[in-house]
Amino acid sequence: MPQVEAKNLSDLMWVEKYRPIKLDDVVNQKEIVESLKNLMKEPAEMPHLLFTGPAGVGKTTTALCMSRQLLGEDWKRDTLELNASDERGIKMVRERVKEFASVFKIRTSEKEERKFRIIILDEADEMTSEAQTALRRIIEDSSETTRFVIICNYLSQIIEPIRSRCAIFRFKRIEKEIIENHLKSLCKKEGLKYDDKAISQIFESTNGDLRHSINILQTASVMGSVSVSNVQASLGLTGKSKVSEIIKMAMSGKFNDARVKLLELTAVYGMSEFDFLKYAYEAVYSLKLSHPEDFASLIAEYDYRLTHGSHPEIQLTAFLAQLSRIGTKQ
Amino acid sequence: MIHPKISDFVGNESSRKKIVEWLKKWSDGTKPLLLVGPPGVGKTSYVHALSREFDIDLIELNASDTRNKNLLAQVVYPIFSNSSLTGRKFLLFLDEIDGISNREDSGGLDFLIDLFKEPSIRVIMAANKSNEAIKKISKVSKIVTFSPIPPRLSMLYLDRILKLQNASMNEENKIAVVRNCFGDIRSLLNATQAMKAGYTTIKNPILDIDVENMIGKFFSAKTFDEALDIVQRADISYSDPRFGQSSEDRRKDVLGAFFSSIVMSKIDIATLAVLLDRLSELDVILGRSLAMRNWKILKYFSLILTKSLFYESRNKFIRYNRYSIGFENMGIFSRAQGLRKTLRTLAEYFHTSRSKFGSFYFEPLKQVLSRSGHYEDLIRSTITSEKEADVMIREIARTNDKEDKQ
Repeated sequence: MPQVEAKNLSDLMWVEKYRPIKLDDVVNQKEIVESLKNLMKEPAEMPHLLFTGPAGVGKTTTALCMSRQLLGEDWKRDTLELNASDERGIKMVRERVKEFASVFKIRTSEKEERKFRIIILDEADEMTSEAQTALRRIIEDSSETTRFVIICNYLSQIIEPIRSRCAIFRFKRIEKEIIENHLKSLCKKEGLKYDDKAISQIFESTNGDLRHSINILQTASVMGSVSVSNVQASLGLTGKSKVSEIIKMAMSGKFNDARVKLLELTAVYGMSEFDFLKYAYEAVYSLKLSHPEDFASLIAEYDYRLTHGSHPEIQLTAFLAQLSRIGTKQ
Repeated sequence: MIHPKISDFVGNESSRKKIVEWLKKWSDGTKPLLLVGPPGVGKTSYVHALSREFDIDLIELNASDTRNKNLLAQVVYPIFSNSSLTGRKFLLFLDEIDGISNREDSGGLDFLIDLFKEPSIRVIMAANKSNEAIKKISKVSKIVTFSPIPPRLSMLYLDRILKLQNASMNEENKIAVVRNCFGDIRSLLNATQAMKAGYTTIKNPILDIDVENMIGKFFSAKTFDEALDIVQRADISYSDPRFGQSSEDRRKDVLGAFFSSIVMSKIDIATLAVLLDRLSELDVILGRSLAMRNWKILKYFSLILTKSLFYESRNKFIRYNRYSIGFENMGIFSRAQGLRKTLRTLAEYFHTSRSKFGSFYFEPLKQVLSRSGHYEDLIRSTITSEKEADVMIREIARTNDKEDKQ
């Protein structure tokens, strides 16, 4: 390959290598970028921000670009990235935010000119509503020194008091043509040939998720070339395909194989049980079953039980057992 | 029901003395009393006994009444007028005050605190545990604490009751009753009464069945009662794996033990689906009561558990299994353990959650790295912890091995 040899993983992986650094480079979110730039003209007046929209459309990237532009060269020191789905309770947010804010206080005494720090709270819709209520207090208590950028997929799962404290930006899904052109331009930069069909296959399977698309593109390229068959093979390696494989196994009566695979996915790969159900829901629809509504209600039921229960493995294994029972009956 | 006189009480002498003093010296403006202590040590009974002894009319509200502002006002205000009309003395007794909550008993708490700032009636409150409501109330009242009754005094009390009732009990059962009640005189009385009524199988308070035996005996039990008895005697714990478990917790975890045993046994999928569905429901009950710190629900848990699992699991020859996967798959646990920190570091590095990293980044990263000639350098220059980097390097080597074989 003609490219310069990578020094670390962010040179190596295209999602990082080509992640925009400036707001203007963010793909396809012109209006949001323009209004953010307007807000940033008066940093002291800047409200907290809430970014909502589907996965892989640039929410986190936009937040990082903004942070970089507002805070200058020390932006990393003054930005705290938290991911709520890793720790759904409020404890970690409270502790880390407190710690972060207290460091700031020491430095302000040196009369540094920095106006505030930024906390990027990703996947905030994964937080319980109790945790969100507590978060609301934290936002208020630290608002003198800190700006929050709250990121979520589903705005409806953010409690009203938080929504009302933030300026809301809705990120839109990126269109087919833009994704495809972007992927093609990456291929050109990397000096790779590509099959047009493979590129559109990537779009079809990732549903406008640019981050996911880039990962698939790169995986296919290291398999030899950006061809339809390599794209297929790369898609087979993603968490979503693994979930759908597990669902198929369970439905064909291979309950034990399915639950061992499930355990591998959650324990080794670290897929959260909630993500598992989310992808299971997508998988069930793509399996084109005769009564998808039965499965939808089963998934809803187990999503509820997972939220309230204390043993995630019991919940998801029980879910697979129900699938197996239905599958063997049909 | 036994109505004790004030001379009948055992334990907590100085606390009881304080109450008598308070009652004798009471005048307008005296702070109300707050009795704090575990259940069954005589807080409520003592107040009842005192009211009889001192001929005071007792007006009692407890947790089962809704104590919102309006209701309290309805009860409290007439006491003022009546006491001046009739010359009778009144004592307002608010039992289980820790059950008052800001939400349901809207305004009730504030009403009380307001009232206590200038108390013009005798008020005694009782509570088991301290919470936000109690903290607020304790600021405007005088606290008297009660402790569990020590075994020696419990035994004295038991002897006295038996004598009074012309009953007898052998030494072994007496020790069992005393030990079982943990300083709770009410439960001691109940146990004694139950024995008198012919319920002779006093449960040995020692939890004498370990988890392994519990599972074996539960699934081979002949009757429902036998199965229930086994669960009640088992040395088990109710813990929540999401908040971390010690290996002891994990072994004693009752739902975990039932789960791994059921799932590893060779039973038909229809039964399995039913049993797992029941376990999942039990887990919701457990999860909710742990999350709401509602421990008192747990005392019903062995009954609910037996009820949900007993009938469907007869003659299925389910045996104890500590792990939910077979020996051949145990590698999953060690691999998971090893990778955990590495994946967390990498997820942060790629600005994403652990779950999303595992779902969308980990495989592409492995694919790309395994085809790079210098993956070791790349990993080491990105992951600062040597240990975490080692794990990732091994993972890539593993990927390469697998592909060579294919």
